[in-house]
Amino acid sequence: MPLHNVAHRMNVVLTTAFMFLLVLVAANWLSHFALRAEPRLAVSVAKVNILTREDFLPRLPDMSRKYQPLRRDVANVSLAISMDLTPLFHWNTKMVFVYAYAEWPSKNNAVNQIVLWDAIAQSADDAVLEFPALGAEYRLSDQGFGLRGKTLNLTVVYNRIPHTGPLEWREYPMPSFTMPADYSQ
Amino acid sequence: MSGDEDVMTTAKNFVRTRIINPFKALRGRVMLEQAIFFGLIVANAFILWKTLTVVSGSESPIVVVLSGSMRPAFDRGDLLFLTMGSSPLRVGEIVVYALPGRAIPIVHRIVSLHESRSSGKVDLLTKGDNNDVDDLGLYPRGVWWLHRENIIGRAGGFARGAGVMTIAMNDMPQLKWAMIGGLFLYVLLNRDG
Repeated sequence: MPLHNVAHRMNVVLTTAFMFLLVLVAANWLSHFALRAEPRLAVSVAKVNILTREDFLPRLPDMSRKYQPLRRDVANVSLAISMDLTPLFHWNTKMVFVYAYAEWPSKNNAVNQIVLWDAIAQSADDAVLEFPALGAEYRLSDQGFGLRGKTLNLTVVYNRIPHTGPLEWREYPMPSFTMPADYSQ
Repeated sequence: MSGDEDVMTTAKNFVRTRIINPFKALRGRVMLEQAIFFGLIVANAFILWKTLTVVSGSESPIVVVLSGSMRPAFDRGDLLFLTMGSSPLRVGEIVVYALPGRAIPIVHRIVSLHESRSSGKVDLLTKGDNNDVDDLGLYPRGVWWLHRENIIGRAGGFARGAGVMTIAMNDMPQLKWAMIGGLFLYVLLNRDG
């Protein structure tokens, strides 16, 4: 029947087109391994601007639903950032999310991790980042009062978002830094 | 002349059997065959979904991004492939989490993490790349941290714009019913395979 013929043909055309697209996507993803190159990443803590403590416990038990109980050390640091993410950009890179985080063990926690700074590069044109002393975007906070005199590890990670394919994370250890022995005045 | 009559008869038959009463042409075994065929298609889709669930370890291995809070990484209509895995959660990961009393799961990035020494339990704080503040305001009252049980999946793969149909069907429910109805009729009436 003519009508059925048209539907049938459309079906075949669409299926073939879809299969072709899948093959292209796979080839695109595989090409990443040939195109990949190492970026240059360097981040260090330039200065610990402030180390202080927050001690807030809601008086009435009911209030802890409204106000977060906070008993912790908090710090604010400045970072020295120098990176060139240009090598990460090729035809299957949509954007790169780069971030630095601090990690340390404490009395109660085997792992504490806080992201201190992040940035987004959407093309090779904005992939060179140079900041000699940048105030970190996010505060560093502990669970408890354990930051005084503590040495923390610093790590930089880039997260490459492709147009299609697996997301990619790569970690680079950076020099560790030490907190002041006492709270800031 | 007889050629024209043939065409007319064919056309009349087509209108009678396919349009006026499509079910007239399908009787007994044929109807049953169609029902089984339709059931097979539904079962196949279900098997595929469940296989993906087992392989990925996530209860919903493929999700469509519904909001712009992760721009420019993910936009509305982008497709995410999720895994679960037993490796510990770490800061910087993109996770999909569900909260009690919230129908739609959220795709955001982990920005703070504290893993207890004694219980191994993790406290997580998340944030959307495109949001200025973290997600504390999204969590229910009195909830200050997410835990592993809130996490549905961890983003592993990405396909840009591959979920636009879902967005369209979400915005226009009529389109969804039209598509389901169309598919149903197509399968039911398509006897020649």
